[in-house]
Amino acid sequence: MLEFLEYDFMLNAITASLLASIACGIIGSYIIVKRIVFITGGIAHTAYGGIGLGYLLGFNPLIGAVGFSLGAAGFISFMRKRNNENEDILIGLMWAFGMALGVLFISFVPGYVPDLMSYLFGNILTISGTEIWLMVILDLVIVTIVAVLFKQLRAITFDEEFAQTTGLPVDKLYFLLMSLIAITIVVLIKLVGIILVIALLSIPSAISVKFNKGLKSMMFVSVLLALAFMLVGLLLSYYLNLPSGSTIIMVAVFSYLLAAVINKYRFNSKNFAK
Amino acid sequence: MINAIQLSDVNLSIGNTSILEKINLTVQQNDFIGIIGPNGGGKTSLLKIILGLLPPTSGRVLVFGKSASHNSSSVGYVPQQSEFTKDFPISVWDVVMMGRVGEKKIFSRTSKDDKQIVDEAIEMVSMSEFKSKTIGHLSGGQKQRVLIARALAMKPKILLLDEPTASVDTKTGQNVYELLNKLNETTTIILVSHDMSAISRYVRKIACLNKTLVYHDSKEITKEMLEDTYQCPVDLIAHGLPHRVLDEHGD
Repeated sequence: MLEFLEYDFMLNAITASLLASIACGIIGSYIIVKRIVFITGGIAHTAYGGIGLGYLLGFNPLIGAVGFSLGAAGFISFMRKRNNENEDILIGLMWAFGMALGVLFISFVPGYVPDLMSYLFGNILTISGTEIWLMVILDLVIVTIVAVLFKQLRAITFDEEFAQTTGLPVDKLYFLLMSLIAITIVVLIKLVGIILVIALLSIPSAISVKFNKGLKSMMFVSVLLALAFMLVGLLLSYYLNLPSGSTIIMVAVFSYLLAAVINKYRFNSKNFAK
Repeated sequence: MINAIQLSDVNLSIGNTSILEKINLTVQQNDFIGIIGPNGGGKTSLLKIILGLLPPTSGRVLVFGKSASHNSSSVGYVPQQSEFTKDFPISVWDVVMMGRVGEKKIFSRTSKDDKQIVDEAIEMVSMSEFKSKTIGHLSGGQKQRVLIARALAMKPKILLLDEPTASVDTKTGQNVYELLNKLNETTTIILVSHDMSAISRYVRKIACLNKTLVYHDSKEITKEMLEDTYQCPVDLIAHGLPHRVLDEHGD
């Protein structure tokens, strides 16, 4: 029954799920409590420009994705600092610009472009050893920064304006948070792809926020949920021969709906007890 | 003694809209000033300028003789509505602790002093029994008290409050004012409100703000002052009396 463990690509996929769920649960929690799902979508799609550039110039497309998503993080932080009134429009613009740029770059690549679909929709089974190591490094960066600056990051996600009155360097911390989101997106691209990354970043935390009293425990539960979604999705896709990324997202979406129903029932029964 | 706050010829416009014009205001240490005025009159903007959150278009803002943004930790701010997400998983104690976070060096741990300051701030607003509750589960009035405690945890020399009693019932509102009265012994307080009856019983000085500021360094409000500010006939309230005394209506 566990014969899939004999395949190297399955072991890689399971390792990648574990690594991705760490980044996903921690950073996803900030995204949910700060309500910046749209901004996250913008950063993710802009990364496609970097993937195209990687194909065109012949370096690992994930490196290109790091560059472009960090650029997007910088652009968003700069706009926020200037109190730009058109922030949502400009994020939409950046979103489309990055995607279009990626498509143009790829159209300049002569011949067949391999793996392109795996960046858009993910294919956890094609993850290489190098990419696993890249994920390890990015995870270490994320965990270290969040551990050191936990209180500061919580303060700016809770109430930016007040944080500024206490003398915290809010603009720098905001840019740091955006950069962490950018890095997390890159960690997740190979698993579920640019288009579906938003679901994996938001759904585990959107569930755990309903059942947790503190940000730390919320992060911990989000990591476990993300891991569960990925492993269940991976197994389903293996046995039913379905695309892995989309199967993982299906598992996550239906789990969210289930959690919403449970949460509703939980509150009703509480009120009933009064 | 150095002035707590000094604004000279402060103007603020956003786009082509003028929000504040020629604001001159001197606040001495341990003053208790109430600023009243209509909605959209620039009250919140004025507080944000003093806090250094909003740079004025022109004019000078000094807090204890230095430019506003250098004094951030000596000014405590209680916003009217906090923007925080309703289901943010955080306890009352951790919210109040945020008043201390600006003081921290990156690697330093929470000190015993910090913990004691936070406990005292929560005690002062009578929220001790709720300190491990999640902030989203509190009532409007309880949340307001937590926000006051968060500002107190900064150990501020100046406290700025934006409509602190807007979302609370009369009894809680009265408690808030009595607390402020006590804090005023050591803290300079500026309070923004449209609730004139409550404000006039506790504050020492009143200013009226509607784009321009009318301030006589006293508690007197004249009918003319108010009518200038609100640009409509206003019923005057007597000071020091527990009930409102209204002018006779002309009809």
